Amino acid sequence: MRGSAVAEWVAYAIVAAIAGHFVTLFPTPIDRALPFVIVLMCVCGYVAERFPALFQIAVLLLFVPAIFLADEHTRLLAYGVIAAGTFAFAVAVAPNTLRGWLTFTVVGVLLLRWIPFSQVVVWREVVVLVGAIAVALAAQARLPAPHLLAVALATPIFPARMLLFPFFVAVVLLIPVPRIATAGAFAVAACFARYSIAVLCVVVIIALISRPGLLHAIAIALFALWPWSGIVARGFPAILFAEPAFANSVPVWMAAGRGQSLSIDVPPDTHAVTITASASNATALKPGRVVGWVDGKPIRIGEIADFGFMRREHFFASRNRPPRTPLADVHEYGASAWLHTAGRIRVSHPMNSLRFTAAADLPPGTRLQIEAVEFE
Amino acid sequence: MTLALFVAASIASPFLLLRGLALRRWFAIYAGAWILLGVLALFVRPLQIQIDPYLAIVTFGVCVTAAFFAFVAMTDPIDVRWSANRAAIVTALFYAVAIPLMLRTPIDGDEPYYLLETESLVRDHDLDLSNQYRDLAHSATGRTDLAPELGDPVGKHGEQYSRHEPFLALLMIPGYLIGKLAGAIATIALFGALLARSTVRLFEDEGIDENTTRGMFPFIMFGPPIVFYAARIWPEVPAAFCFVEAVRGVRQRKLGRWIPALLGLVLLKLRFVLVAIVLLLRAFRKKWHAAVAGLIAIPIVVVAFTGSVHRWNELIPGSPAAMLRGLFGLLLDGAAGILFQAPIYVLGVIAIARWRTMPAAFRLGIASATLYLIYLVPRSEWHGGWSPPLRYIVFLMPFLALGAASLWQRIAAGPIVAAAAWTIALVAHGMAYPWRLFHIQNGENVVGETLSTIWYSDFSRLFPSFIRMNFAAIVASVIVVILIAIPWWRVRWMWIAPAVVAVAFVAGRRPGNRIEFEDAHVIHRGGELYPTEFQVQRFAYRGGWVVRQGDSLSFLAREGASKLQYSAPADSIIQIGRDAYVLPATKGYGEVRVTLPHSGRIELHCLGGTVNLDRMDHE
Repeated sequence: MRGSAVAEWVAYAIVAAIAGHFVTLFPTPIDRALPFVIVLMCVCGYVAERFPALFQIAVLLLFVPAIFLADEHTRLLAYGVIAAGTFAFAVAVAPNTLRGWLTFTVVGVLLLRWIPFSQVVVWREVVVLVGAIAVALAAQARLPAPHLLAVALATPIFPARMLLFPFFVAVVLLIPVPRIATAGAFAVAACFARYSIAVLCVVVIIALISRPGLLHAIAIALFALWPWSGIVARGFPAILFAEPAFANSVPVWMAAGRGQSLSIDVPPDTHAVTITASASNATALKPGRVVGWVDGKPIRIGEIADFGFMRREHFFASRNRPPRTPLADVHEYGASAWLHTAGRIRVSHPMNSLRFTAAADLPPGTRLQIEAVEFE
Repeated sequence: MTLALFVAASIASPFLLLRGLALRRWFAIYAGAWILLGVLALFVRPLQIQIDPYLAIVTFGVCVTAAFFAFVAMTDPIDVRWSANRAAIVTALFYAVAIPLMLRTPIDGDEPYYLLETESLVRDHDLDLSNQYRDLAHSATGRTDLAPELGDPVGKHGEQYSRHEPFLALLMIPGYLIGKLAGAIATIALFGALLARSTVRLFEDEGIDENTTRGMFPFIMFGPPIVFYAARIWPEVPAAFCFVEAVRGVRQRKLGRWIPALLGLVLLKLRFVLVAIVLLLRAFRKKWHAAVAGLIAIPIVVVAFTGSVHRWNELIPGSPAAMLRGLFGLLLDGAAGILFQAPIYVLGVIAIARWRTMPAAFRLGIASATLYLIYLVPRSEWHGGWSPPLRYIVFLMPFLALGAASLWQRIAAGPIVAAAAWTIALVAHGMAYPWRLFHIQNGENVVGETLSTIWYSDFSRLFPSFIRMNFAAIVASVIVVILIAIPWWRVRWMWIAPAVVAVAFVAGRRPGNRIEFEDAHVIHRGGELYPTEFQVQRFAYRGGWVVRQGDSLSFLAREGASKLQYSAPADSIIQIGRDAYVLPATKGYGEVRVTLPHSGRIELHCLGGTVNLDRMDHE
C-alpha cells in the first residue's frame, strides 16, 4: 500500500513540477523555485496519508497565481498562503508520529531557508537543518510544528558559531527545569540584550512555553510569508509599522560624514515634511545614539538604522534596532529578503529650508543618509 | 452591514448543524480563520499587496462557508444535527448575506421588469406599466434607463404590458411591501430556502444516505447556478421548488402536493408547460385519466399561446444541428455550459447515461424535462441570453444533483475536490462582482478574457464556445462522448491536470489560427465594438470591431496567407505589415486574402474608410 502510494506521489510530483516549470514566466527566485515548492507540497501530501486529492488540488492552485497575478507581491503572497495552508493542513491531519514530524520539519526548513537557491550556503544550511531535527527529537513531537520552525527560521548562519543555536534550544528543551522558569530567564535576557539576540530569546521562549491553540493561526499567517522568510526572521514585527513612500516623495540621496551639513529648500506653504533617512556603516551604533540633527532635532538610532543591517550577513553582529517607522521597502526574496531600514521622520512646520547635520562624533566612515523627502 | 450579516449567519449556522466536540472544534477553526485573515491583512500595506479588499473579504467569506459545510459533511453523524428544516434555515441565513452582495449593482436583465409588474400591482392594481416607465425615478428598481422590452405586448388603448408572466410579481408583493427591492429579492431567497428543504426531502425519499446529502448539499444550494438565482429576481428558483415538489407529489401520489406545485410551475413561466405536460401524463395511473387531463390541458395551452408573447411556430422543433449545438453548448460551453459554470452537475449528466440504475425521481424529473429540453436546445438563446449562466435549466438542477448523489460514492475524491475548488472560485467571483454574472454572448468567458488581457494572447480559443463555434468546442464534444461511454472515473484525472494546465498555458500564448477582432486579446487603438455591448439578442449578430481611418489593432497571428472577413459600406484600405489592402464595399460580409509577414505580433492599421472587421482565418 505504502509502496504504491510512494510511486503515485513521485509520479504526480514529477508531472506537477515539470508543469510548474512551464507555467512560471516571472523571473523572481520564488517563481523559479515553484517546482521545488510543488515537490515539497507533494511530500506533505504523502506524509499526511489522508485526503490526497486535496493536496493535489492545492498543487494545482499554485498555478493560479503564476498564471493570473502579474503584480509581484500579490503573486508571491498567494504562493505563500497556498503553500502554508497546505502545510498546516498536512500537519493537522497527518498521523502523530516522529517520522512525520521530522519530515514536516525538513519540508518547513527547506521552504523557509533554501529559497533562493543561489543564496544558500549549503554546509551552513545543512547544519541548521540538522539542528532543527535535533530540536524536533528533543521535543519528542510535543513542540508544535510552527514553533519548531521558528527556531530554524530565526537561526543566523552568520557568524558560523550561531549555527549552534538550534542545538542550544534542543538542550534547553531537555533540561529538567520547569519551562516557565527557563522562559522567564530568557525574557529577562531579552529585555537587556541587543535586538538581534533578543529575537533569539523570544524564539526560545516560544519554543519553551507555546501550546497548541489559536495562536497557531498567527504562526500559519507568518509561515505564509515564506517568500519573504528573511523579513519574518529579522524584520518582524517592525515590518508591520513600515510605511510605503508617498507618490510625492522626492529622491535626495545625499550623505553627510561626521560634522558635515547639508540643506534642502522647502517649498512655500509646506506644513510638514517627512524625511526618509538612514545611516551607512553604522551597525555598531547602539539604539539612542545621536547620528545627526535636522533643524536642531536629534536623529537617533531607533528612529533610523543602518540601511542594510537586516541583511542576514550583518544582522546578528549589528547593534542597531529597527526604526520606529521604517520605510516599506523589501529587497530580495526568501531567506535573503531584508527590509531597507530607512526611518521616516516627520518634521512639522518647517522653516524655508531643512538643515541636516551629521554628528561630529560619528565613527570614521559612518554617514547620515538623507534618501528622500515628502512635502505636505 | 453585509459583513455583520455574514458574521451572524456564520456564527448561528454551526449551532443549528453541529453539537458537542464538533461544535467546539469548528469554532476553533472559525476563530483561527479570522485571526489568519487579520494577520495577513496587517501585511497588505507594508508589502504593498495590490488586491481588491472587497474581493478578498468575499473570497474569505466563501472559503469559510465552504469549509464549514465540508466540516459538516466530514464530521461524525453523531455530532451533526442534520434535517431538512435545519438545512433550509441555514440556507436562508446565508442567502440573507447574498442579497446585499448581489445588490452591489442595480438589478439587471429581466429582473427590473418583474419588479415593475409588482409595483404596478401594488400601486395601480393593474399590469399596465406605462405609468411605471414614466416615473422610473420613484421605482425601487434603481434603474432610470428602463424601456419596454422588444416584443412587449401593447394594449388596445396603448397599455404597455410586460412579456413576463405576472405570477412571480404577484408572489413578490408581500416582500415588496415590507422591504421594497430587498424584500422582493428576499421572497425569492425564501423560495430558495424552501427549495433546500424540498431537495433534502427528495434525497431522503429516494434513499440517498445522509453523508452523501451533506456532501452534495453545499454544491446545490450554495453553488452556481442556484445561489446566483436565489438572490436575484428570476422565476427559476421558485420554479425549481415547484418542480421538486411536483415530482415528489407524483412519486408519493399526493394530489394536494403536485397539483398546486405544477400549477405554480406553469404560472411562473409558460415555457414550463412543456415540463408539466409530460409530468401530468406520468402522474395519472390510468390512460383515461391522462386523456382527460390532456383534453383539459389543450384549451389551457391554446389560451396561453394566444394570450402571451409566445407563438405557435415556437412549437416546431429546430434542426438536428441546432439541437446538437445547444445540447453540447449547455454541457460544455465556456461561458454558459455546465462543465465550466456548475461543474458538479456533470455527474448528473453522467447519471443520465446510467439511467436504469438511477433513482425513480431522477428518471421522472429528467424524463419530464425532456420535451422542454428538445424545444430549448435548438433555440438561438439556449444559453439564457442576458442573465447569469444556465438560466433555462436551473429548475432541473435538483434532479441532476440527485443523479450526481447516486454516483457520489463511486466517484474518486479528485474530481469532487476539483469541482469544489472551481465552484468556490465561481461563487466568490459572482458574489464579489455580480455584474460579471451577465456576460455578452461573444464566444469568450471571464477566464479566457482575463488571461487574454494579461498575456495579450488568445486564451479564449482554448475554451469551448458553442455561442461562437470554435475548434475547442468540436474537440470537447468528441471527448465528452467518449468519456460518457467509458467508466471515466477510473482515470487518474489529477495526474493529468497539471500537464493539461501547463500545455494549455503554453499553447495559449502562441498565435492562433483564427483572430476574432473584438476579442480581449486584441489591443484596440481606436474603433468600437460591433454590435454595441447591450444590443438586444446580441448573439444573433456576427461580432466585430469597427475601425476608421487612423485606428489600429495589434494581435498575435501566424505567418502566411489568411482570409480576412469584414463588412464595409464603402471601399476601405487597411495596412498589415508593409502591405496595404483595399477592402471593397460589401453587402453583408465579404472576404479578402491577406499575407502576414511573420508569426507574432501584427499591427493592422486602417488607412481609409470604415470597416467592420469580423475575423481572420489562417489558411
